[in-house]
Amino acid sequence: MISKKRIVVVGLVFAIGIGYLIVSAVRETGAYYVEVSELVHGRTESSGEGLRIQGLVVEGSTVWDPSGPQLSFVMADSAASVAVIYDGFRPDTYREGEKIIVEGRYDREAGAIQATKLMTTCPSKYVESGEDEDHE
Amino acid sequence: MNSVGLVALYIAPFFAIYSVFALAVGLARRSRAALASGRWALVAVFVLVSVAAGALIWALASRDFGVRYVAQYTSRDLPLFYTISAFWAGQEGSLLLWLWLVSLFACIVLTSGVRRRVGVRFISAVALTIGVAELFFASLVARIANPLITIPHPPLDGQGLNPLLQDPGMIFHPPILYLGYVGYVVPFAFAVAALLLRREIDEWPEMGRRWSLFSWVALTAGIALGMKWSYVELGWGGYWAWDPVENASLIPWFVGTAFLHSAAVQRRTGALKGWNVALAALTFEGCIFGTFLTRSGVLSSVHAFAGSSLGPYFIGFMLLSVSAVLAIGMWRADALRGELRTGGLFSWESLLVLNNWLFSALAFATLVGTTFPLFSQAFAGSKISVSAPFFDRVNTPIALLLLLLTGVCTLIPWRRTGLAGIPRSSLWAAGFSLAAGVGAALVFDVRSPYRFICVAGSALIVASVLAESARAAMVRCRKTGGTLLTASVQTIWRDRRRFGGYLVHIGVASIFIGILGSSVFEYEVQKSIVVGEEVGIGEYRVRLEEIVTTERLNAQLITTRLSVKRGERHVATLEPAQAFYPTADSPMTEVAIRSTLAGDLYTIFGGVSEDGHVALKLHTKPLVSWIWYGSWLVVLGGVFALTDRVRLGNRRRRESIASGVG
Repeated sequence: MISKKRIVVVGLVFAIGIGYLIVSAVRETGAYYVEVSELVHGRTESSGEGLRIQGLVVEGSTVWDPSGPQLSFVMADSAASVAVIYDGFRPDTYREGEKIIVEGRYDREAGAIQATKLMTTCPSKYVESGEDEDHE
Repeated sequence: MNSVGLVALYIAPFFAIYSVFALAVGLARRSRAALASGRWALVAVFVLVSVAAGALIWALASRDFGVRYVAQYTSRDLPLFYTISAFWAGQEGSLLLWLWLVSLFACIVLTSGVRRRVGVRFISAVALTIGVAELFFASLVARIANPLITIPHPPLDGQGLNPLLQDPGMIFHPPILYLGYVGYVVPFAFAVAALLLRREIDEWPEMGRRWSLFSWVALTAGIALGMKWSYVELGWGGYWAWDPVENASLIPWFVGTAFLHSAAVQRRTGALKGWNVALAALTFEGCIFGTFLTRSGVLSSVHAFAGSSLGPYFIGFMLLSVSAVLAIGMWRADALRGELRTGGLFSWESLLVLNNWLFSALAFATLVGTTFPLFSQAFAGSKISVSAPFFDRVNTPIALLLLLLTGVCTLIPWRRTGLAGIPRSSLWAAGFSLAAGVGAALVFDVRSPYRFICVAGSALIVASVLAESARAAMVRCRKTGGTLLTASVQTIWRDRRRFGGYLVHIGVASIFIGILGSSVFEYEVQKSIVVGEEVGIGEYRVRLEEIVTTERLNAQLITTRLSVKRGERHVATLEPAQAFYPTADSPMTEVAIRSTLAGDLYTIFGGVSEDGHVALKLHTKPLVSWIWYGSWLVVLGGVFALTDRVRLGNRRRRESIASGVG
């Protein structure tokens, strides 16, 4: 038979263990998450590695070269834009005018992001606030 | 037809309000008439919502582009099959599906056999909770996200269904997932009813067991289908990306799995009453959260929480329901008391408590990771987000501990405590798994402790299940004197929930092996070649034979023909392609896979450049199909356990155990 005290002690040790696991994983794998304008206007602490940048793919900016293969495009928010170069395949979920999240390094001199990973919207058509009005 | 559906949809919330009101009054004043009218009002909601759902199906099938939803998600060239499936392609339709399912489930609960056993008052209390959920979704669908809204100037053609959703797997994935999400309302409603009436506190998990198991099976199947779809259709070479939308289904799955196990502890020992109520509530909240996350404009970030038009409503509903459950729980705290009496740290009960903690930790870590940007912004001032590496780092050790625990738990018979109580067959199983682990480590260079635990843990599950089944069959064989075969069949059939569980565990072991093989031993080559050239990957040589353009239904296809050789032997011809849909501005990748039990060769065609270079990406994914076979085993085991009878009424035995007599 286990006393309440013992359960509480074991539980605490367990919780601390899980907490430590989470905190250490955040330290080692977390990346700064910025909008395009925050990146370009330097309002962020880090501009080297471990960046995740969110913005919209600018319409008409996509250049897809299968012989590289290389995908390049411009991503922007309301205040700034930046070029993105990605040495990889164009994802099926990639769409101009849609939100995209890019992981990679920002080269301030060249003004371009060398992306290592693209994260796009899941393919259901999501309706967001504000999008509805023009249909009505 | 559409206006009839629209009117039905507008009326439905009022019936739901009436139902909640009448049921609450009927419970408080002990009025049978009020309870009856409240229950009938729920039936009326079901009828009204069915009419609305029928109207939407009709609008889709007749391609009535005057209905905004139809214009947004279908087009004239879309096959009828996919046109109907557009019902759940968007937010409004999905929420209508949710509403229809929850109102259907309410009717099933009201008419099921449980009613005779628990009485009218109890079933009405169950209906009250379901009614509140119906009220929320009915108001949402009628007022905020109405799929039947018309537009004044219908377009000539619709915007079309996203080509990625034009896949058989994607037709069944959302509704099956929804069956699980919605089904978990019912066990939660049983918990609330038990607390409200202070009755059946011991028995409600067993009464709601069919529902929780059914929902769990549906959730599992939904997640597995989603993985398969992601693997086959999305064309990125993986099956799980730790995307918020995926995590949204995984979080309730973790909590729901914990609940399945802790409900078993309560049934056998009478302990963990409060914990079970909490888990049922958390699973329900997880399902609401999951519905919200997948259907509210939240993509790879959770920043859109407040931005999404539905966000405030969902968050409000979750806060309200959590506070309500907390309040009721505190009100009835004395009824939830129960001692966990076990034979020590190394007994079946304590190991299942540990199992619950581990599943909760998985759910918690996944939730933290998914919503991390919100926390970091609120508390640290800077936005930090985490992605796949975070989840791999945190969840892998927890999941491996669970894997190990699964095998160990099978070896420890219930209420047989301490190491002395372990039968000899179990020791054989343990020895076998250790040998398998060491063997795999030697042969496949599995040097990391994680990989060793993964192989040894999976082997332990299989060995312990075989050992336990053989032992049980032999005991029965000795008792009844039949042949070993009939004894085995009888043993398995008589305890379907236990052997169903065993099958689930074997499936899980297979999934772990599949994940190990396909993630650790994966190999990838990305290259641009011209016709006639070759790429080598692992033991394969892949030659680009030709490029063909063809037409298919509503798309144009560019196909590359690849001949695959292993050594000097031609083993396969693969045709990865790109499909161009007139409604979509970018091509869809159609991967080609050579799948064997040993591993997959996964080929992606990325496009042709002007000078004729073809972009190819090849993956070898050892053992990946073990994930799919394992998933079907899990689902099969769940269904098998579902056929077990409801086991109520052994309260006396439990009480005698709880008081330490048994």
